[in-house]
Formats: sequence, C-alpha cells, structure tokens
Amino acid sequence: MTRRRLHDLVLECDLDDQGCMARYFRSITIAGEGDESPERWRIVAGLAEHRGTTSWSFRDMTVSVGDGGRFEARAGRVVAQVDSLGRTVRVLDQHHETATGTERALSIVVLALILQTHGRFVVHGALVRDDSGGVALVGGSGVGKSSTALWLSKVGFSLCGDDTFYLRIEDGIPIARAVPQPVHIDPRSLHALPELRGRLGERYGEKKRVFSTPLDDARLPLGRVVWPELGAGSSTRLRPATGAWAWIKLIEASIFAGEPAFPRMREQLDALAMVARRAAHYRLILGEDALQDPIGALLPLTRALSSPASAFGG
Amino acid sequence: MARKNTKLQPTDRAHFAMMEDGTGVILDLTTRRYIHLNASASQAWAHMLEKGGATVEELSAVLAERFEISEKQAKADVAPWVSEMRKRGMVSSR
Repeated sequence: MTRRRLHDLVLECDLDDQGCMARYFRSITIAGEGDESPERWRIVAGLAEHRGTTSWSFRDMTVSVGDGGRFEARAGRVVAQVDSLGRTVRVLDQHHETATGTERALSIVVLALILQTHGRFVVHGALVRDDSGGVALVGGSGVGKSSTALWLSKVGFSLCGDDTFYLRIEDGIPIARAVPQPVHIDPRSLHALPELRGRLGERYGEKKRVFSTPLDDARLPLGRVVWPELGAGSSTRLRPATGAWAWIKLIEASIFAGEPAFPRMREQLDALAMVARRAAHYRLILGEDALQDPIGALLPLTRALSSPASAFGG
Repeated sequence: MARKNTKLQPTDRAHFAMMEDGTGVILDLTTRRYIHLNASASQAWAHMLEKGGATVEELSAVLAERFEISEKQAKADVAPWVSEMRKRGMVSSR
C-alpha cells in the first residue's frame, strides 16, 4: 500500500436556479491534515459561506490508495474507483439514481481529482456518437445539452452519456469517454420522446428528473463539439464557432481548468486547446421550432453534423 | 519600455493556445481573463515560447519576414504590444 498524504478539501460551487452546479468550482482550497493511517485518509471539506455561493461539507469521506496508484473513495453511498491507469471508473453505487446533490457533487470532485492525476480531464457535457466518432454537447446548465443529446438519439446518433465526460489526448487526438451518470432532464423536454416518460425517476433539483440509460463508454475520437443555446427566432440553426471561442468555453465547462493548485493544470489547458483546434465547433441555436418539434428541427442539421469540415485529416 | 537587448518572456501567469487560423488566446491564470491575439501577435508569442525569450528587435524581424513587411513597420507594432503585455503581467524581462 502506497503512503499518500491527502488533505482538507474546501470547495465552493455556484448553483443555478435549478439547484444544479452552474460552474463547478469557484474556488478550491487544499490544506494539510495529518495522516490518520497509512491506508486510509479522511478528507474533510469545510463549509464556507460566500455570497451567491453554496458549498458542501463532506465528512466521513475516506480515500484508499492501493498498490500501483489504484484509488477508491467512499462517502455514504458514493463510491468512486479508478484503476492505476485511470481506465476503470465507477462513480456511484447501485443507488445512484437517487444520489443527493451532495453525493453527486462529491462524486464529481473525486472523479475529477483522481482522473486529473491520470491525465484525464472532466468536462461538463453530454456525449453522443455516430460512425465517425463522438459528438460532445457542451455548455452551462439549462441550455439544452441533455435534451439535445436525447433528440439526436432519434436522428442517427446514439447516446453515450449525460452531463459529464472525460477527455484525454492520445497520439495527438482528443479522445472522449462517457462517465457513468444518470440523465438529468426537464420532463417538458420529453414531449418528442414519449417512450422515455415512463422511465423517469427521482426529482433532481426543482425541475429536473433523472433516469438511467445504458452507458456507452467507448473511447471516441472527439471531432465535433456542439454548443446548444436557447436563441431568439423561429428556426433552429447551426453556426460555426471559432477555435478561440471554443477554447474559452471549454475552460469554463471543465472541472478544475486553470486552477493552479491542481495537478497537470497546464496539460489540461493544452488538451482543451487541442479540442478547440482539432474539432469542428457549432453553436446550436435552438429556436421556437425546437420547442414544438425538436426532432423535425434537428433533422435538417444532422447532415452538417455528420460531415465535420475540420475533423481529423479532413 | 524594454531596452534594446532585453529578452522578454511569458510569465507563469500566462497560458497560451494557438488556433488553427493562426490567432491565439492567452488565459491570465491570476485574473482568469482572456486576451485574444491576432495572427501576428500569436506568431510573436509562439516565438518567445520557442526561443525561451526574445528581444523586441528579434520579434520584429520574425514578423517582418513572416508577414512581408519592413522591420521598421513591424517594430512600430511590436513595441507597443510588448509594452501592453508587460503592463498586464503577461511578459517580463529576463
């Protein structure tokens, strides 16, 4: 067993009006705490009040560091496990559909911390795929990422995972992989997907509910990124976005990005820059037609999404 | 104003990314603000990174060659840009 020193973890998260994390971490402080045993350590995260900010206090969280850098973190029902190469990830236990916001936040924190030490960088977004590889749907909470991912699953794409995916660079190519998380969605978005209505689970926040979907955690070359936004006007449309714009947005959507206290911070920024450069980026402006008939609104756009102009080698 | 032989280099506060179209963005890790660079400024920044530092004259020469302009003209652009980057804490003298 490797002796590792872990520390107090204090984190502050902005919440949006649905109780979701609008931006994952406003600030993160890591302070020293004495080792309690060579095999298990307790991370105590303090509760800090901050204007406009809600923080969580995590207590009784234990982290085990096994041979070869294998990690396991537990807190209540939450379990996060990563093998020594960061390949195997398990975030929540079988009760994950009913995870509280605290448990969910904890799982993301632990996941991101552990994965980042392995050069895997967590991004807030959904992931779908087609024969050409992965398409990430990235943006803030409530812009329509999950809904768009589900709608795209009706027009030739398949859903890999919702809310969070992780990114690494392999041989100069950005590779995305979904993280096991239930889908969080406003039920009003499901009028075009009536088959999903019966599968809705617990409430999540004020408006959203969750349901599970089979996870596709294949490693996918990430050649396309879609940025949904709620726009004015009647028609849903795609607009190309520049790499510079995308890099800034990717930083905002990534956990710990640009936080000097965290490991491999510059490597993370470079990985995001690689995505900004190598992928085709589209702003998906959701018009009024997407509210009425999202499948019909998206169908004409799938051709552009399926043949990215700046995908690898293209 | 940098002296003639003063080597300038990016500070630890700055993290730079160059884009496919030759433009670039600097993230100021202290303020979390972004600075957009046009193609010539990106070229100058990339040169500073590659060489571990460069003088205003060296940067002017690189841009003059790259963009086929006179060194005098290049220097007229580079000098105030460098001054601005120094003011923002993005470059320092070595």
